[in-house]
Amino acid sequence: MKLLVCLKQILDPEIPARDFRVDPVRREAERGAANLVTNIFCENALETALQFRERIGSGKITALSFGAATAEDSLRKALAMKADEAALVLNDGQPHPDPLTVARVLAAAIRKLGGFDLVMVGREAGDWGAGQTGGLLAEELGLPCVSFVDQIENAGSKLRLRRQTDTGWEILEAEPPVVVTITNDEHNVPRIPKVRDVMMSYRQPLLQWTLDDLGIDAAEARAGTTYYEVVDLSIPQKETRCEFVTGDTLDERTEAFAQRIVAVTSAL
Amino acid sequence: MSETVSMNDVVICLFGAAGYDKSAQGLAGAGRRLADELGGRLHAIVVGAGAATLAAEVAGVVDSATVVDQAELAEYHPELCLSALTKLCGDLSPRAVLLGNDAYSQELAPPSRASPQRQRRG
Repeated sequence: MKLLVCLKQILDPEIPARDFRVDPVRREAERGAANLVTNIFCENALETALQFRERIGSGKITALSFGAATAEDSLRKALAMKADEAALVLNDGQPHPDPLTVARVLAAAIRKLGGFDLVMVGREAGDWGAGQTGGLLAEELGLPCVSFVDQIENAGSKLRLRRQTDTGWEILEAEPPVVVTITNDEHNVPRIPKVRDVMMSYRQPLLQWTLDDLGIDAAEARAGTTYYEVVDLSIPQKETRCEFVTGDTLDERTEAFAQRIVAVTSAL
Repeated sequence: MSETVSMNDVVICLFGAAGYDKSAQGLAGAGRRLADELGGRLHAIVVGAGAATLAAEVAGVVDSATVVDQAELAEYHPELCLSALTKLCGDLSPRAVLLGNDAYSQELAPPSRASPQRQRRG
């Protein structure tokens, strides 16, 4: 079975909120002291793929990323975690392309890499949190998509997928090829690679392509605004005010308080 | 409720099985604000089991609603739900279609965005 896992490198979302800044002109988060890390849901996807391969006893896992040259670190880590091969599509355009652009680039790269039985994507990224790439990628590839999967089992010629919903789990069977978006679960916490495997990963080959190599509209991909454009970015400013209602008796104060609540909520 | 929608109107898509939960309330509130800003009306499409109950609960926020509660949609099935929502939203042609931050909506939003491709592929 051939598995493909898409990985996105993002700014570490775990930095303290007080250190988080946005650049309103470039409309993106400032890097500051934040490290670059692999998006956690993408790592959950890789861990799910590794466990699935271990259960079925065979299979080839390819890690794919579309990003800056630094995204190589995410792919090297994937190799250290025992992915079989890795490919990077260098993004020399808009640093934060919209999900449809990303889906088109990934779909073109997947077609170039060859057919896959299972394409796995994190359910959303910890930077922009759009959660759209998996579904759009499935549409671009013309494959069905199952979202919010946290466990994958082999079921003969089919896959048995456990999917998280807002109220519980659904168990689905799907026939490959299929795209799944992976969410986190206690069973797919990403493993920590051994130091030796990390060192060895830098000796393994890494496929690298530019947007021009994929046979897509590279100019459109570089613009990165196929779907939407971020026109403004700011951190919400929270304002706290304290008011005391007046009245001679408790009933008067209660009435004034109730009226104030109505006035405030009706203005929302 | 009326099902006539005009160019500046906004449609929200809700799932009856989930009830009027936090996601649905947030969606209704965001839809109300956007419709008011656009000077349009807010229309709800409520799909699946419990759709009539949810439509009644959200009636105080929306201007009109379409209840889709036939037996085939009683249990969530993405292709059927997507087909129903795509058809209804296409017919209504609102300014914007909003979906909530829930599992079903996050699954349906991307393919509904790509629905012209889906239709081309047949």
